[in-house]
This record gives sequence, structure tokens and C-alpha cells, in this order.
Amino acid sequence: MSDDPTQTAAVSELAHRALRGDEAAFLELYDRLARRLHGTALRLLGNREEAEDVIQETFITFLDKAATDPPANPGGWLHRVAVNQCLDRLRRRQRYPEDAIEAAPEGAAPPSRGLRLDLERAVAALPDGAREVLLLHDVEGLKHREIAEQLGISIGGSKSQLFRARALVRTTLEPTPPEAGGAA
Amino acid sequence: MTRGRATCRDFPELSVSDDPADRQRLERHAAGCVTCAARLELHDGVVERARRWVDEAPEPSPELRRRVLAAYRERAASLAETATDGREPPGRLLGFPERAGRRSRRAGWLAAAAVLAASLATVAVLLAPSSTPAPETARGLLVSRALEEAVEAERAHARAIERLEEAAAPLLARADDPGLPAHEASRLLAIRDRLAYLDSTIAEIRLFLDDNPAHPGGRTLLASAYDQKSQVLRDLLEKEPLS
Repeated sequence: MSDDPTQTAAVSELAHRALRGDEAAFLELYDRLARRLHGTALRLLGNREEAEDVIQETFITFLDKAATDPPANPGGWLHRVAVNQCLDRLRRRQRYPEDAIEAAPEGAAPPSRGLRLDLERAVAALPDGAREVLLLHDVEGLKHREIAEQLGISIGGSKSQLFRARALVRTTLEPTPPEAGGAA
Repeated sequence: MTRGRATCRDFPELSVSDDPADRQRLERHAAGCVTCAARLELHDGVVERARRWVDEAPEPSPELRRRVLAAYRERAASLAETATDGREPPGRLLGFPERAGRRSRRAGWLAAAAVLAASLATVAVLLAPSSTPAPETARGLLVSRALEEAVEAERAHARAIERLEEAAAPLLARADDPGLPAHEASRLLAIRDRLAYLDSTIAEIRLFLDDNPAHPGGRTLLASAYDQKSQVLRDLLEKEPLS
């Protein structure tokens, strides 16, 4: 999410007006934030329909909850809610693996040696857990402590999953990485 | 991490660290190590491409915009009312009374306190010596003492659960072990999921009790959530004692 204080203030003002019934402000808020939220949800879930459901639920949660307890940073708040909803869905997939098969990202395929896949397929092919940690840390900017809390894993587990994810993506994208040896 | 000179062996830990000082140590090492410089460049390349990948995701459909707008319009009237009279829309969790503005929240607290006070006062009347003076003061003291005792009991419960959590942590962490059979990992993940759900429920109830400390239903729910969490942890530890 944007760390620009001017943007944050503008989003806060739009959210404030939207929560007082100003429809134009709500639409502007949506137009400013929805694309980024959707991008995050789509990449985490790998399924467009589910990503759109998450964005809809996120904005509805905002309308139902923020009206009673307005967040100081509505943009960050919406982002956290969207990520949490994605994580809930991913946890449900872990509990019911048959859903995960149905919800697998379109075009996801196991990496083949020597075959240059694009990043989307490389990330989609990551094992569960590694993909979420890569996206939450490297894209969403969460710290390992926050990821550990959100995913219910240890901080060490988050670090090792991240290293593993980057290495797998790198190996998929670069068939002959200079991995071996090296002087200390 | 120790703060000495980094070596190639430190690459895995330093390259994923959140601490900027670790990154600096890695860069200093990579400046004199061709292999780690190349590895670092590749890792940074993955991070950069992953960021671009999310930014370049396709836009949500116009249909989603229409759906969200429809949801907004459904709530617009109540939002406007909330904005003008401070009333809050429905939708509270846990079946608690809707949180209202400060005045009605205070009224809710007073009502809950009154219920508790009435119950305790009845007991007090039955138990107190006939010479007990100033019933209003006695009721206030009883409510306050009952609350203190309830809060202290909850703290003790929470401390006991923390100890169970510490004991269970290594067992639950095994779910991340890629060598664990899938059904076993799935079972442990389900337990972690259940615990996470109970944690969020406990947090929600405690938030409610911050505003409504004497709410008897809230205190009962909190005790029940603590009991459930404690039971889940005890079941896990009984079935899988640490070797």
C-alpha cells in the first residue's frame, strides 16, 4: 500500500466522506484501492472469481465495521482485511484439499527442467505456504513476525519458506543459477 | 544473528532477514564474493519481479464495481443516519448487543452492572449480618470485588493456557515439516486453525469487555473460550507427548 502521507490523507478523507453516505467519495475510494487489492488477492489465491469475492467482502466489512470504529489508516485497514480474507480462504483449502484442486491457479503446472516459465507460472507452481510467504514478505512488505502470526507458523518457518520460495522461483526462471561453492 | 563478518554460509539467513543491518552485512560480503553477489542479484530479481507481477495483475471486472456499489447503496441510508445521530449500524459479532454511541454504551454498562449488583446484593442480604450499614456502598464494593476476582481468575486461566501453548508449540510447528505425511500435516494445521479462531474470538470478547467490564454474558463467553482453547491444547498434548 502507499506510504505517501498525501495519498494516505486523501484516502482517509474519502473514507470519512463515504462513511457519511457520500456515494461519489465511496466510488473514488473504490477506484483508487480496488485494483491493488484485487492484484494482491488474485496473486495470493490464483483464482479471479475468488479474488473478486474477497474484494467485495472487504469493502462490505469496511462499511459494516469502519462506520462504528473508523480506522486511522483506511487504506492499510482495507489491505489488511483483504489479505486476512485471502489467508482464511487458503487455510480452508488446507483443511479441505479437494477444494484446493478445484481452486488451483489456471495454467499452474509443475516446473519442468529447462523450460522457461514466466513468473506467474513459477509462483503458481510453488508449494502451499511458500507462495503465501513470498507474496506476503516480498510483495506486501510484511515482516516475518507478522507473517508468522497470520499464518500460524514460527518466525523461523517463515524465513525458511521464503528462502525456499525464492530459490524455487529463481531456479524455474533461471535454468542454470550459479549456486555452487564460493569462498567465505 | 552474530554481528561478525558474514560468510557464504550466512547467505540463507541474511538474505531473508528483516533487519537492515543483516542486509548491509550481506552486501559487504557480496562486494568481495562473486558467487554471493550473483546469488544476491538473483534473489533481488525475484523480489522485484514479484512486486511488478502484483502491480501488473488484471483489473477487477466492472461487474465487481457494480456489486460493491450495490452493497454501498443498501447501507447508505443507515450510514447517513449513523453520521447524523451517532447511532451505529447492525452487524456486531457474537450476538452482543449492538455497540451504540457513548451514551447508550454507558447505559448498557450500567444495566449490566445493575444486573450483577442485584444478584450479588441478594446474596449479600442473605449472608450479611443484620447490622450491615449503607447498602449502596456495600453493593458497589461487592460488584467491584466480584469483578476483580473474575478478572484475576481470567488472568490465571490465560497464564495456564500460555504454558500449554509453549509446550504444544514444537508439536504444532511440525506441520511445516515437508517430510510429514500429508494427513498428519493436515490434522495439525486444522488444530492450528482452530486455535487461531479461538484466539480471534477471545480478542473480540476482550475488546467487548473493555467497554463493558461487568457484562456477565461477556465474562461467561470469555471463560468458555478459554476452556475450549485449553481443551484443544490438552488434547493435543495428551495424544502426542513430546519425545
